Amino acid sequence: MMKEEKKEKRFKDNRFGKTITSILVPIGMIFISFLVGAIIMLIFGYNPIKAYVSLMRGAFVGSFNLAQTLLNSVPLIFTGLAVAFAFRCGLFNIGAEGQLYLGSLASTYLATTIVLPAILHVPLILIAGALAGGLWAFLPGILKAKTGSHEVITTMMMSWIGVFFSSYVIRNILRDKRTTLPVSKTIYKSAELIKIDQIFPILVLKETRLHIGFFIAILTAILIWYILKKTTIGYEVRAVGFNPYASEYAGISIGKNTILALFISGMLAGLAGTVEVAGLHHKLWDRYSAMYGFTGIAVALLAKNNPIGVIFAAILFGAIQAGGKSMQLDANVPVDMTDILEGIIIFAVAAEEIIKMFIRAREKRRLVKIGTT
Amino acid sequence: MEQLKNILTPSLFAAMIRMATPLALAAIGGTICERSGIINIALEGLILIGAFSSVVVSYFTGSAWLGVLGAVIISALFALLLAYFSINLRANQVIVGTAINIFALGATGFLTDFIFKEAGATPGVAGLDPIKIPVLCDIPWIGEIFFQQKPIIYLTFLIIALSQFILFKTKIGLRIRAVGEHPRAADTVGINVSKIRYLAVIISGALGGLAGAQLALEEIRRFVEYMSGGRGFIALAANVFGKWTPIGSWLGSLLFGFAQALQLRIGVFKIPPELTNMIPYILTIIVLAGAMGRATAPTALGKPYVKD
Repeated sequence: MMKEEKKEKRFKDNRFGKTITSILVPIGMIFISFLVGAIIMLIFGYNPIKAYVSLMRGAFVGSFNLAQTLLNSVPLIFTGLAVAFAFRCGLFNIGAEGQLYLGSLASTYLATTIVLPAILHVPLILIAGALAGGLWAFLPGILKAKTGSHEVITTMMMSWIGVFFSSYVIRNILRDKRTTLPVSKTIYKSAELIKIDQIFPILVLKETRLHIGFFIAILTAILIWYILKKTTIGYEVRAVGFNPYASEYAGISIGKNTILALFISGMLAGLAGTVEVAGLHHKLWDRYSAMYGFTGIAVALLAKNNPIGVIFAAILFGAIQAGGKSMQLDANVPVDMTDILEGIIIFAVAAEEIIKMFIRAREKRRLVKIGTT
Repeated sequence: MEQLKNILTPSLFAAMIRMATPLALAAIGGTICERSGIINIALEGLILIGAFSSVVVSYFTGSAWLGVLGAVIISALFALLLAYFSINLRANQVIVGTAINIFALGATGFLTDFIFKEAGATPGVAGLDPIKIPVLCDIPWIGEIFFQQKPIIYLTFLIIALSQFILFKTKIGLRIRAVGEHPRAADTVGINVSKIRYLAVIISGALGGLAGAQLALEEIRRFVEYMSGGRGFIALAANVFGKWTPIGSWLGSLLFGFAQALQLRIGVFKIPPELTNMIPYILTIIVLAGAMGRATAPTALGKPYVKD
C-alpha cells in the first residue's frame, strides 16, 4: 500500500517537474537570445539596456501599446497553432502565409457581398475563411499521401500561388473601384468583430482597436489543445506524428491523418486571415500580411507545439514587433533588430532540441552504467 | 502574328537568360545540397546576404570583382551555419533554414542602416559591365542572346556544365549522391558522410552568394532591402522542377526566367503580372503531382545521419 502511494507520488512529482522544465527551457532560450541580441548591439555601438527598456515600454506600457502587442499576437496565435498542429502529425506546414491569404479572400468576399444579421454573418465568414485556408493545405496533404511529395516543398509552392492569386483577385475583382489603391471594399458592419471596449468598457484596453478576435484566438488554442489531448482525432494525429509505422500497424491510417492534419492546419491559418480582416482592417489590402505565416513557424517552435504555449509565444513575438518602433525612436537601434532577434530565437530553439538530446543521451549512459554494475 | 514577331525578339531571349541566371545559380546550389540529403530552405537568405556583401565590398574597395568574391565567401560562411546545425547538432533543417532567412532579412537591413545611415537602400557601387565575345557576338540572334552578356552570366554557363559533370560523372559526385540516398551504406564503404555534406552545403552557399552578387552588381548596382524578392524560393521550385539535376534546374530557371522577361513586355499581351508570377509554382506542383514522370527527392533528404 505504502509502496503504491510512493510510486504515485513520484509519478506526480515527475509530471510536475516536466511541466516546469517545459516552461523554464523556452524562457531560458528567450533569455539567451536577448543576450546574444545585446552583444550584437554592443558590437555596433548601441546601448542594449536602453534598447530593451524602450522595446518593453513600446510593447507593454500604456493601453495603446499593450493593445498593439495583443493585436499583433492575434494572427500569430492562429498561424502558430496551424504550424503546431501539423507538427504534431510530423508534418511541416511552411505555407501558412498562402493559406492565410485564401482565408482573407473568402471571408472578404462574403463580408462585402452578402447581407446578413451579425449573429449569422460573423460565423459564416469565420467558417468560410477556415474552409478556404483548409482547402489550400488539402492539396499538399493529398500529394503527400498519394505520391509522397515532401510537404515542405508543396506547402511552400501552394503558399506562393496563394499569395499571387490573392493579389490578382484583390486588384481585379474585389477592388474598391472608387480608389486606385490595391484594396477591397470595406466589409459590412454586420461582418465586423466587435471591439473589446464595447463589451468591457472599464478595462485598461478602453478606446483601443483590440477586438474579440483575441478571445476567439485563445478559445481556438484551448479547443486545439482539447482536440489533441482528449479526442480520437487528436490521438491518431499524434500517433502518426510519433511513429507512423507503428500507427499503421495499429490500424491508424497515415494517409488519412496526414490529409486531415494539414486540412485542420490550413483552417487555422485561414482563420488568421479572416480575423485580421473582420477584426482589424475591415478591408483586404494587397500583401498586408507582415509574414505572419513565417513568424507562425517561430511561434510554434518556441511553444514546443503546445497550443497553450502558442498563446504566450505569439504575445512575445507580437511584443517584439510592437516595441521595435519605439526602440528605433528612443535608442536609435534600426528596427531591423527585431528580425535579427526573431532569427536568433529560432536558432536557439533549433539548438535546444540538441541540449535535450544530450541530456537524454547522458541519462541513457548513466542507466547503462547502473545496469552493468 | 505581327505582334508576336515584335515580342519574340533576341532581346527578349537575352533577358530570359539574364533573369534565369540568379535562379539557376541558386537552384544548382540547392540541387547539390539536397542531393547530399540536406534541405536548403535558406537559399533566399543566402542570396540576400550575397547581394548585400557584394555591394559593401564593392563600395569600400571600388572593385566589383572583389565584391563577387566577398559575396561568395560570406554566403558560404553563412551556409556553414546551416551545415553545423543540421549535421553536427542534427537540428531540423527546415527550422535552421527559416532562422537564416529571417536573420538575413534583419541583418542586411540593420547593416544598411548602420553602414550607410540610410534605410532601405545603399548608394550605387561599381558593377560589372557586359563583355562582347569577339566574333561570336556578331552571329545574328545567337550573338545577342548568348554572347553580349555580363561576366557572371558566362560564369554560370560554365558552372552548369561543370556541376552536371561533377555530380554524375565523378567520384565526388557519386559520393554526394550516395550520402543523400543511403548515408549508412555510404558510411559502411568508408565515405565520410559529414564531410561530404559539409562540402555540399558550403557549395550551395557559395552559389547562393554568387546569385546575389549577380543581382546586385550586374542588375541594379546597389543593394535594396529584400531585393532577393522570393528568388530563393523560385530556385527551390526550379530545382524540384528539374528533378534534382543541374541541367534540369537550369531548364526550369530558363522557363521561369522567360515568364519574368515576358512580364517586362506587358502591354502587348496584357497578362496580369500576378498570374505570370504564379507560373513557376504551379508548374512545380504539376511536376510533383506526377504529371511529367516521377519526381523523387533524394531518399535521405531532411534526415540527420546518426552514426552508431
